[in-house]
Amino acid sequence: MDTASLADFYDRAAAGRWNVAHDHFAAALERSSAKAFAGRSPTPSELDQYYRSLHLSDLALACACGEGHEAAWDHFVTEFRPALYRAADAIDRTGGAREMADALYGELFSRSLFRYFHGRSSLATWLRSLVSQRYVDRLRETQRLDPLPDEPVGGDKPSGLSDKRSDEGPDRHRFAAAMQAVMAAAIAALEPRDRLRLRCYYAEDMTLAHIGRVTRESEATVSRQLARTRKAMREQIEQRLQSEQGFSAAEVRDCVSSMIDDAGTLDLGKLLNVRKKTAADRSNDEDAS
Amino acid sequence: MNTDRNHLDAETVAAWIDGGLDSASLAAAEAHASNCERCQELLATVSRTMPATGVVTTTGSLKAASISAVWWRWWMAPIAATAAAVTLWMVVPQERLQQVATAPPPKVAAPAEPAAGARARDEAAPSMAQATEPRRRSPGEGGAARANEQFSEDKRKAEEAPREAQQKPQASQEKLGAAAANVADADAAKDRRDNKAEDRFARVEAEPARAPAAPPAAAAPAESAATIGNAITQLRKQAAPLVIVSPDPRYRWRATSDGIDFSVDGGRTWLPVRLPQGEVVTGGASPAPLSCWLVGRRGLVLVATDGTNFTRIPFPETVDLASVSSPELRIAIVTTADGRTFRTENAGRAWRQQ
Repeated sequence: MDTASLADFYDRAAAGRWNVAHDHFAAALERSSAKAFAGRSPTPSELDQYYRSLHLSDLALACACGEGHEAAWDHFVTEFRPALYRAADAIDRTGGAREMADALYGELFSRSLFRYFHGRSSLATWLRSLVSQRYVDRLRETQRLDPLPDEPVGGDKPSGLSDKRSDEGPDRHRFAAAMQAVMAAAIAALEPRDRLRLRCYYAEDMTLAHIGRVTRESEATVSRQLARTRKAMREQIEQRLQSEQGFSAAEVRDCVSSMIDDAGTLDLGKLLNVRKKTAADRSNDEDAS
Repeated sequence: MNTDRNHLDAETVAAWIDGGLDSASLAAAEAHASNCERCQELLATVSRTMPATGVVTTTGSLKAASISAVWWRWWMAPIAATAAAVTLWMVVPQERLQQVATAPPPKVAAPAEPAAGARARDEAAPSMAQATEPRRRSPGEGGAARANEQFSEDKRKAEEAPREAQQKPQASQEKLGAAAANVADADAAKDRRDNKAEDRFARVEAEPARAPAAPPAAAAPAESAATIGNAITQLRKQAAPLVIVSPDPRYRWRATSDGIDFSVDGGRTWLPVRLPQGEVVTGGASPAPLSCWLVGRRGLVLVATDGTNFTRIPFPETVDLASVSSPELRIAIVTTADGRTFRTENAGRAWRQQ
């Protein structure tokens, strides 16, 4: 980067407020672009446009905190520490994420973590994402260590079938297994964004607004796209039941009727990757209600 | 399910949420996340931590509906999730199924049907017709007006669904109808939650930009409460954080777009205070170092005596509140957005309009 451009970005970032060294700031910009353009060399204009899109003042603050600038750290503590703890509280209303926020705060104090902030988001969003990542990874690690559930009675039955309906017709198991197979296939065949929307809405139970934040769509658009995907899914399932499972039209109808009659027989959690609810989730649910 | 180790890192997810990824990176991130349970959980968790934008006030799970009900709702229900349409599709699907079995997806709308259940058919037909449309449509197709129109239509149909299901006369349909109605009810609960948020969003967005209005005095002119309420919202969005300083200036509270913070060192450091989700605070007063009254929209009155644990106090009216003063903890004088004042002398157990 030439000196004039660096000076321009330095000024835009108000990095002088924290006395950030120019070469440190330049190094932070380069780390950022290296990550954004991983595997390819951007043109100078691409690079310029990229730097202009960054949260430069937050990047300068992170640089300064990483350098151990006391005033910058005080500013960070005043303005961003509450956001960190608020994020922890939002994740787990029982306070279970607080200790992670404490640990994160300790790491931030030791400066090393700031070098992983690249200015592609605001500093506040980065902190929220960091504490969320710690929480999710710890939760998943904990779940991996949880004992497996007891084998269900009649464990050789197709996944997702309950005992409840076993005496209700010879086709019951066949229908359930076929439905599970075509649903899984239909989900897998979706476009990534459609699948992501669907899972965010039905598996993660995110609101339209939250999904819209992820997909950069309005709530109305998310709603419309979900509806479109549902319709496509239904059609896919009908077709797959016939083409892949060899069902006749009458069997498709019977299969669907059978499944609707008892909606609890499919292994839906497996299809939608729903993890077991934790105490924190349950607490959050109660608060949300 | 993706099992690789190339999960999205926190920085990338943050960039994604804040719109900092270019199109190629975004596509790659979406492709990964759409198949990765861990990254879906991360996205969902981050989204829960994002501050309310004045509109999004609910997160967490839909308690009323089991995942099964939700799943079945979306799978079997067409766009509007109408129980009537579902029932109709389930009971009279013959023509369509035959078409599916023998030919590529039809290019026409639903076939004509008997006169019975005419209204239900009216709703089902466009769904079936839509099912024959090309699979891929761009997200922005039709523009905002069309999207809003579609959303309103969805909402209307979702609200009508249970009614329609109950009106179906055929005995053979009753069981399916009831099951579908349950599913539609469960879904409608979530839709209502989302729609409510969207309605609020629409209201806030529709507010015209105006110069910040002065807080209403006791003898405020007869301006509508809604107008003043909107002005308060604008003020909250535009103004610097509301800071409430206790008689001991080391103890203070500040209201930000994120929520309430509490400081015990004169504002050098702040700790977040937990409030009921989505509450908007418009005023506050501190009669003692650790005591604080807060007031807000829709009759919100909160009080804390230890600095951080706020308890909601019932207020006689669900009206926007503009300010509060409190000479001592038991006494509070609240001014509503329409200029009236209410007083309590027993820490909120009883209020008297002045």
